[in-house]
Amino acid sequence: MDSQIILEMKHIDKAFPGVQALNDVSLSIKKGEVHGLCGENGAGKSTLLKIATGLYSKDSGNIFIDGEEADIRSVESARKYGIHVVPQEIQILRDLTVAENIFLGSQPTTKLGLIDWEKMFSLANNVKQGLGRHAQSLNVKSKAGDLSMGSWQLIEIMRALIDENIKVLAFDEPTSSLSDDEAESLFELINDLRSQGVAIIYVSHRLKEIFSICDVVTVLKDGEYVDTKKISETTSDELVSMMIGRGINFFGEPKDRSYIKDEIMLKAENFSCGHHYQDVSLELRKGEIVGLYGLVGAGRTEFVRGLFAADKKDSGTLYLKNQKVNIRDPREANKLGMGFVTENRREEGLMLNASLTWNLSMPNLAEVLNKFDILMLNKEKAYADQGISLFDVKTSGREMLAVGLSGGNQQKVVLSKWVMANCDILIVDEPTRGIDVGAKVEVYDALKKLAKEGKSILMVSSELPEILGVSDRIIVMCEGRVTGNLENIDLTEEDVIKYAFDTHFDTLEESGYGE
Amino acid sequence: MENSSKKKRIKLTSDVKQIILIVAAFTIMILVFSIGSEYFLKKDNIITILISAVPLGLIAIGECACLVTGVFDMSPGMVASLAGVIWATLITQFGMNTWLAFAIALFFGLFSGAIAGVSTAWFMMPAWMSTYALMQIWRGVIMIITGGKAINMSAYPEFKVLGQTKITNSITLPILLLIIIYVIVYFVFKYTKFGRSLFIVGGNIEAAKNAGLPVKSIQFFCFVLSGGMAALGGLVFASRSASANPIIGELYAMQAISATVVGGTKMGGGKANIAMTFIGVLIMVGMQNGLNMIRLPAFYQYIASGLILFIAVMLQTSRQN
Amino acid sequence: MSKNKDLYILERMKRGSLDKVMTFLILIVEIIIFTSMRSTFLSYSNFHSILLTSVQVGLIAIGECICIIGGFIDLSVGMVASFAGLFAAVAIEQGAPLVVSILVGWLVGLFSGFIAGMAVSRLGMNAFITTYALQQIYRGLIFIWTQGMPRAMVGEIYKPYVRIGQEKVLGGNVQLPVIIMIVIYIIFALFMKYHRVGRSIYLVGHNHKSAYISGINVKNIRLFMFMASGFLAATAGMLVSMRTGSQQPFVGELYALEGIASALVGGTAMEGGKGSIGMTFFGVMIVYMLKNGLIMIGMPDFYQYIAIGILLFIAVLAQTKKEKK
Repeated sequence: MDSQIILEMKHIDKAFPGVQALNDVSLSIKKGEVHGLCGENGAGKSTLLKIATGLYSKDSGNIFIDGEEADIRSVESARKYGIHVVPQEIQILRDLTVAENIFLGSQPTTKLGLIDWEKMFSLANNVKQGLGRHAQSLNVKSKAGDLSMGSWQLIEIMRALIDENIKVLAFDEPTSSLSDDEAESLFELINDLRSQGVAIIYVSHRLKEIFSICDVVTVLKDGEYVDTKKISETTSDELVSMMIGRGINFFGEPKDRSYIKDEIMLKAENFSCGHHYQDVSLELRKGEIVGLYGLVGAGRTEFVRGLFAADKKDSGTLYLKNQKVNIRDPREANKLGMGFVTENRREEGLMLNASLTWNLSMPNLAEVLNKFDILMLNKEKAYADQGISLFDVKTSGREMLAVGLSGGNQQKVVLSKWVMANCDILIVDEPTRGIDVGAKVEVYDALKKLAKEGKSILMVSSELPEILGVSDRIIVMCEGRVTGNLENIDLTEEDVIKYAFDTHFDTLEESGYGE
Repeated sequence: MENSSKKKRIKLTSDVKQIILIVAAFTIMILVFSIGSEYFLKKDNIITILISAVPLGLIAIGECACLVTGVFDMSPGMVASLAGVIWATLITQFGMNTWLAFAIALFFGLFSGAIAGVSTAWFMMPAWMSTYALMQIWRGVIMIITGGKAINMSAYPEFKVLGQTKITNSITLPILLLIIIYVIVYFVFKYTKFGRSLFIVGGNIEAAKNAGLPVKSIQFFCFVLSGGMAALGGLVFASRSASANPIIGELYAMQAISATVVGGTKMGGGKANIAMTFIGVLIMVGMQNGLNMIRLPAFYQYIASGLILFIAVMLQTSRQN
Repeated sequence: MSKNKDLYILERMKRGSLDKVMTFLILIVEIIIFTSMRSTFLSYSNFHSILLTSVQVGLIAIGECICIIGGFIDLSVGMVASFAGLFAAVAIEQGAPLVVSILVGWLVGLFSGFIAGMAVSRLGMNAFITTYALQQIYRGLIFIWTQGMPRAMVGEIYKPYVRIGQEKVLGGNVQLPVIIMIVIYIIFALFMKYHRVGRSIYLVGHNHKSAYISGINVKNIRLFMFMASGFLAATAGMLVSMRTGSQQPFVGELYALEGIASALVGGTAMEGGKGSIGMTFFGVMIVYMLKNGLIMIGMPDFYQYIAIGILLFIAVLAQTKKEKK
């Protein structure tokens, strides 16, 4: 049986700043096997995949291909070993033909070294014919930019399949932006490849898919290997229970629910935007922290961005304090007392190369202006000092550049800038991403303190323990829809996570995503 | 199946539409000018247009290569002028062999492109900025060499060979050269790995890196190509007019950018059509000629080419949004 | 990790002050070199003439500095300057009062800034290529209008206009345009530092996404930048015709280049968000001392092109190498 093992990863470690993403993980993939890889957000499944396919380099450990140690440093070198990946973010050249997109720099040439277009098209067609029925309508001569997401993914798959020595093909959340039909034909395709002896690694958090196409599944948790099971010998309940129960974290003082008032501060009705989210409604009370949970790609971030008008939405009605409002851009949201801590602190949250003073006063310049629109710098300094002391930001002073703060302190500055701008409603998206444990607790305490002072907080998070530890109420989204609305009283991880997986649907959600 | 073929037909038009738009603009221009002046469509005038399209046509090739990888080259005008000046000066001042001097002048173009390429690809300078600075430097060098005066070369018959040799009664060597080079470049763009990699780098630089393309070298060589083409354009012009004109290149950069953008090249990179670029060049040069024909002074060109560029960029931007 | 970060900050802080040190260093080296070659270089009259000739680019550099801080560039300023000067001159010819003529010039500048600003902020057009196209359009219009001929501003009717450029003040020691330039520098330096809009320009330049989320009206701020640049270019164009007593059609040919070079040599960062009006003034001094010095040591005019081109190259190179870290 050992001879069948194509790819073997042994004792892989990988650390990112502040996080041990993988800790001594081993994995072996056999010929003609579809190997599922699952786990909660941040369990390390994507990282492992990226190491196997050369996108990341490992810190330590060994990779063996056909029993021999392989030196994988880049996507290119992984490809030389016959390991290919269909990434989640598909890279497409919109203005070139499908065939060129497939071959990129390795076009077939004639004896003269010129590109042989006929051969390129016919090779591309050959590859196409090996794919399922759904691929057959794809014209290899048409421009990629005019095609659907499903076709783009086919292009990525075909990029791998032009390699005749292909051994392993890895998929990273391949169905996240596909329609049902497209997903169906992808599964047919994967079945075909399996029968041709290609080993497939399939990363997904959609358990239904794991059960319908995988032979074997490996579960990771917190960057550690949990177990590998034959799919016929396990159930979705068992897999879920393997994924949860992560290391105990400390979430600061327990939240005191007595501060929650009945007054509804924010009410969103039927927010929809394309395939990102549909008919999302929620309410937020004064003094309440609502946790918005869902797996990556569930549409949480897109929804809150639509709520704040940072991105456009298709439809939806918003009430603030029972007043219907129409917010067209963040400026108007800001004026109505909403604040938004974005998930990408470095891109949208802070001005990294500007001083803390500038960062803090930005959303509320009016506060430090006199009636002629002139900045009163002394007042601004006092304002900034107040903002810094609000959450006890550790800094050498208000003139320090934001880039110099630690992640946790940066986040506190972002929170503080909105609180200082008199926001009653705070939307915080992944507030503890990329910051260390101690700082996380400080952020939790800050959020609880704000709720106690009568602010309403909508917290988006991928961390289930965090959602459970901080929120008063939990709203779960799955594939663009709200699937659960739970008061956080004696809830367990299992109670919440089952709403986040698609297994409680009878059919896959219609994502309504077409061309 | 039926559904998808229908869709395809609709999609096809998005590219076709653009070509129709360009050809329509071209036709309208011809119509307007041929109504404005009976001489516009005469054979002699068409030849004149073709001859004056040569330098710009060559420069537009280089500019097109740069734009398709997503960068601007601002320097080709001055590179063209300086190449002509170097050629003439080496002959008149140093008594150098005409063709050796020619080679050196051409090499200068490649060298200038190499500077722009290195500063962009390896030093990460914004391309338009480094080529803009380069343009000013070459402008100064031209002035130092010539003192701002054209160098008359009518006494050197060999100098005129490149630009004035007649192939047939009306077709001169430069026209033939232009056509040959366009055909070659068409093939390079379509049938060589280098040509295609320009599109790949401009279309999606991450994909290009993942596919193992030498992105930096490709960026470098597209500037070298641009420099070389600019120099060649300047040399042909100098030879044809039997003089090295220090200020001839003033408008070339903009006209070349206009011609390529009008010809449907995407400013962000990744899309270009060398045949359409040629039409773009004909539009720019025909405009210039036509304005002369209907007796509008030369400086209407500035307005015309400025407006064309503005509108072309505006249309492209709105299409992308 | 945090140690690395501290080092990084330390380095950035050093660099921040290094920018200024570098600017002053270049200035001092320049002065020493030229003075050692021509002792009159450091005389008051030469210093005054450097200041006087730098007025137009000095003003334009403010506009470029503002645009660059906000993350863009304006190449149209040279022809806008010429255009505005021309309009003002014609207004005077038509018998308009002085104030009205100047207003006409300013209106031309604001209007062209408005066009560029709208194209960039609302249509999302590439600023560099848009202003470049506009520059050519204005150039053509000026050509058609003037036939390329300068217009001498002699005669009674021009007197009050020309006087602004030629009047000597402070006991006849300083010509009025120098004072005007300095006043405008002070106004804009204060504006950028203390006014809401000035601060917003910095914020938009630092990180326009973050500014947008924080409720800054990014589009209008961008529009303002180009209008300010147009206004300053118009002022520069009028001042140069006031000073020289003639309206040269293409006087602004090199303004954009020199203005951008000045702003960058003065430490304005191409990445946006950083730079100061005050330092831009020293950038202008570097450029004009270089021009003046080259002439004094007998180099012909056109060496300036090379010198400024190289200066620009170095200024950009110094920045980009730093950003790579």
